[in-house]
Amino acid sequence: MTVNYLGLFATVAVLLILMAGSVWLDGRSGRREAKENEVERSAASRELPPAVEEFLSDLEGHLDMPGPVRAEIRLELADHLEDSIAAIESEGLDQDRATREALARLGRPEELARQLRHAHQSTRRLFAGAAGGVFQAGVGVVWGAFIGYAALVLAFVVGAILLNTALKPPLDFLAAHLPHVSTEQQNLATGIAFGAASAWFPAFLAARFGARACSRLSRRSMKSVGRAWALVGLLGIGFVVLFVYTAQQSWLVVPLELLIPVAFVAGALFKTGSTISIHGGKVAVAVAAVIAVVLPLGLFAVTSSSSGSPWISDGKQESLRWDQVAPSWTDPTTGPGIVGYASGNVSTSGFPGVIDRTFQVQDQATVAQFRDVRFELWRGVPFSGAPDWTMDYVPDPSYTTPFATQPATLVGGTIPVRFDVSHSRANRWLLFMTATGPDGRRYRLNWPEPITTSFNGTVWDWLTAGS
Amino acid sequence: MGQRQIRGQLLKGTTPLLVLTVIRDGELYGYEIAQKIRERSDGAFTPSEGSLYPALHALESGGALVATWRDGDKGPRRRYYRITPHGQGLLAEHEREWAAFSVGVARALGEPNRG
Repeated sequence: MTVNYLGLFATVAVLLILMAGSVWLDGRSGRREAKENEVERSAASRELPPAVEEFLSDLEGHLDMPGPVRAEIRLELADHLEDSIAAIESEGLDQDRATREALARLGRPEELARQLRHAHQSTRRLFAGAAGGVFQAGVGVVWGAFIGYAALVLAFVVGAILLNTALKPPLDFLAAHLPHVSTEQQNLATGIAFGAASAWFPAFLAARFGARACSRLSRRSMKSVGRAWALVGLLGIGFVVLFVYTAQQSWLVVPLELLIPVAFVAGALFKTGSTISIHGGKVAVAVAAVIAVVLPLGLFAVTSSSSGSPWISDGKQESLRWDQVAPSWTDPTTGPGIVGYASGNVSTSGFPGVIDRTFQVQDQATVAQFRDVRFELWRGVPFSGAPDWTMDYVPDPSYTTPFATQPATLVGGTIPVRFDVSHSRANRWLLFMTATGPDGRRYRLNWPEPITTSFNGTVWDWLTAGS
Repeated sequence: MGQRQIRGQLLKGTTPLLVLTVIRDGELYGYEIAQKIRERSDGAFTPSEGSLYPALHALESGGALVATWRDGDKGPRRRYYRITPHGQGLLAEHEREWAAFSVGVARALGEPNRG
């Protein structure tokens, strides 16, 4: 194995720089927040005349700025009004008139708020907020990746312990009643599902870190900044997830992928006024706990075989429902038999979802008795009771016609067969060879082998594909 | 147009200059700044209180002033403003511009050349 030391060093260096920047920003922001919280507490504990209180509340309502900045402005103006009212009272006016006069000198609250916003929210600060937000979003991605993978490892460990202990009875129940999702070796659905689930954390923390930094630096309220980040994230990440990112899609993977932009929106909007500590916020812990319990539950349910039911392995064709396609050809002298077998590839890369096989004809004389020889590709479903690894499928009873057919032409003892199923969400197939016999009836000439394909494409390709 | 309105219009744009001038000598909080401007102008100028705080915050945002919360000498906790080296430079620039502007206005009004 060769190691790319330059790439490794660059990756570690970038991570260290991000971590150092984050810790520095976190400490700086922590000190500032401590001061601001003190000011907020002072502002909250102040008793003011009702008219002053109303004026300041009205002013705050028009200040689209972070909470601590609003509190600071409120406290400063409350100080000013107290001094102003006292000075006017000393000139001989009663408190009510002095209050009205002091408020009049400050002008209309909405106009004062507009001027204060203008003083704080410069274009330079907006750019600084955007740049700082993007940087902190990057830090959020790194932390989120660590937390996400840690949560998934925790989920595995906790899940493994729980699966064989207290949760076994309810899990057996779920496994028996939830839709079955195949996890054969060729189907990487669970691995990609884990990848998609682990991307929720980076998305959530990126939005949260980014929006908070952007709000603080641009001096705009977390509410308005969070909404902007949510919209941009929903459109940007949603576009990438739907139309750009290509993976092996399945019913298990697609919903988890679609939750990535949702996690970003949640990060930008959910309780945006509160702080999530990098070192273990309540939300992160709660999400990790949910993942630790729910994910193993769900995965066990969808991957577990129904271990209680016996697997019929005697190959009885009645139980395998092959006669749904056509009755088996029975040779008058040798009895039931097959005329050949298929070999070849099912392409999963390059031409994903293409079945490309060669049918080896063992009994050419028998095949010669038939006309209209063709291959029929039928959708398959797992054979109830068979373990996943057997890939033992039976024709899907929901369909009475094949997915596709193709004429078979004998070429030197073999018949090439190729079906393109890349535009179908179905991934289990049975390939039959049928033909019309001397008596005019259509017969099945082979023992079908199950074929598993995968759907490679974007989420949009998956959603718009046929079943 | 009344005297107050005329003065208000003349004051427009001069608030940062007046604020920086009174803060040059030491830390002050918002209400004190308004009082100092009034005292120094013998009551001729009283900056609109509604425009004083936006001006203070704009100067702070621009780095000309720094603000800190601390207990006052006699009263409660207040937000004090202090001029920065950048603010000193800005004040010098404002003073030069104002001198040139006032000479120009005086000439236009037909007053003897003071330059």
